Amino acid sequence: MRTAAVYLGLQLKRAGKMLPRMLAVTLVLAALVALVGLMLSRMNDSDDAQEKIRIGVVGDMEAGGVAYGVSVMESLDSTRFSLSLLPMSEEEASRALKSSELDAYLIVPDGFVDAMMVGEHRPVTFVTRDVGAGVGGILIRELAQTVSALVLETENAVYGLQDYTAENFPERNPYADGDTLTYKYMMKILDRDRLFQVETVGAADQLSLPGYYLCGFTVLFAMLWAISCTPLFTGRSRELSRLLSADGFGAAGQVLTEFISFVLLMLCGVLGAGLLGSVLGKRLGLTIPELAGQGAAGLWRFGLGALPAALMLCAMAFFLFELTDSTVGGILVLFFSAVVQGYLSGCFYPSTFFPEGLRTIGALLPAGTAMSHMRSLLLGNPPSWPVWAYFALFMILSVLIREYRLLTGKEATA
Amino acid sequence: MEAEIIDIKKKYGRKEVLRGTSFRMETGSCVGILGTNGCGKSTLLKILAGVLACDGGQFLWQNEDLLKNAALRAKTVGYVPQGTPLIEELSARDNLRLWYEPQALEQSLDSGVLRQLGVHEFLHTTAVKLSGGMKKRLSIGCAMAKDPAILLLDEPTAALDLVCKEQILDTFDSFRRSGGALVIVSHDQWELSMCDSWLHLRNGVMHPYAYDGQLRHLIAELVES
Repeated sequence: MRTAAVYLGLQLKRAGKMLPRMLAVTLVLAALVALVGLMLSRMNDSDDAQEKIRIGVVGDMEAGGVAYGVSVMESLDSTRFSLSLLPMSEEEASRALKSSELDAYLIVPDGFVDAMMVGEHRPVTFVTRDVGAGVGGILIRELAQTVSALVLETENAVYGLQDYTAENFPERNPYADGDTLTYKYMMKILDRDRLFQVETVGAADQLSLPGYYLCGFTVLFAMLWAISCTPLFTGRSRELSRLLSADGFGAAGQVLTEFISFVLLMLCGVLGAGLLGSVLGKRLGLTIPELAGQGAAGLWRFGLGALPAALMLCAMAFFLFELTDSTVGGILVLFFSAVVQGYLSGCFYPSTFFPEGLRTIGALLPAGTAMSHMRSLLLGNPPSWPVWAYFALFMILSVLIREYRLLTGKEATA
Repeated sequence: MEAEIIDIKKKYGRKEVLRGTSFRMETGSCVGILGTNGCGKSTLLKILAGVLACDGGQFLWQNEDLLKNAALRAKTVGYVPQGTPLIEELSARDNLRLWYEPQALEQSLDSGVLRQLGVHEFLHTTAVKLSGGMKKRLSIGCAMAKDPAILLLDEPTAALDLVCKEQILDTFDSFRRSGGALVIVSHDQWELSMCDSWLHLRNGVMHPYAYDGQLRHLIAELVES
């Protein structure tokens, strides 16, 4: 017991000596994460038009029904969330395309609609920088298909109505004003705003994007931060571990005391990062909708609630260093583990962007369970138990590895 | 009093390093163990110190098997490994605190073995800044914290300068004169010359060796083995 107490004290002292360097790394990491968060937040807050593909429309908006066409495209469910159609002259469109203010522009020839009505082929010209690749190209092809389907279906409907009227009500002359009939049809059928209300819940598993990224970046930060603690792990003397074990202070006690000092160091880092984050957030006007109105108390509650996830990620880092037992190996394994797990578990992008299979794998990974835990916290749901299961698993594995090394005298190879 | 090591066996995988190693030592004696690299000398010391499990055998002291009685072994046996069992980021004093009771530490620094080893000269220096000789002296100081009856030394003065070597060997000599038993694994002429019996570990078994102070005879035998 005396050995355990002294060893814990010495490990804490050792961790304390490393604290300034680790705090410096923490501040740099936190600043980077805050910058990325700010960038994402600004993107999210900006006008919807910035997220849409911007298409210029060149043509006489007063004649030939081009304005009707634009109005229709802006009402269509399939395009109104993805496209922004901007009427302009060809000169303006060309300049805007070159300066990347537009993704593409369409040149609608004079009398296009009239020509279409009489079956004359007068194509619309599509001008872009890069039609072969990217989301823009795909959307343009979708747009062309939508327009074609729209025109064909409208024509079928109008021609059908004209024929029916001619057969049954010949005195009304149904062929007299085909254009007006077409426009009216399009607007009646396609003006869907009146039929239902669209609510965007976001792609972030019921969380707001700022809330989601708060979870993602906290998990990513916790995983990457452990790299700054490398000297704490690799500076351990195996000879000392063996002597302590021979003296009655075994693997479990050693792992536990070393882990406690690591966790306390981590808490200092998280506290520093949290303070920096909250100050920066206040200055830059960043808000987390899920925590809005709760003030500093809400942030503290979130921080305390996140402790199980942080403990689990610490246990994972501890386990990985115990497994590799070398500086280079430990850093590499920790870094790649953080990046791969962070990616698959949705720390960089909402996991809803991924296919079902990847989403399942990501959710089962330690980082995925940490994300799930944080999400539950923000949504006010009960926290998830897999975080504790992983914590116990990593601690047990760390003790077993230490025990194996002590018993067999196996040394690190790197 | 006598310590007896009986039939110690150890395998690494299929390789049988110790095949029944046995020897005796009296209190106040010094046993030197010789052998080629990888013959199992350090393994034997680790087993006797309790830092490595063996596959069979006994280490008898006062009718107790120290391999089974860990508490008695911890009080009886001190072990100085080849490496440095130190927390590098902490001072010499902090490292000593792990092994010494506070009062015993002050006493030893004042007039005991730590004073003799000269540890008080670098007490507040961080271990990472200590020279090889200082680290070795500190390690020996740690190993002697519980005033052991038997001290196991794995090449204790290898790569140290002559002054440091002399200081350490003087400490061992005092320890032996005060009734302690020493087991030294070594290839060093100075260390071997302070022993009063020598054993050659060959093919996992101990053989008595008549060391005459002539390293060339020893080398010839080692080459032959």
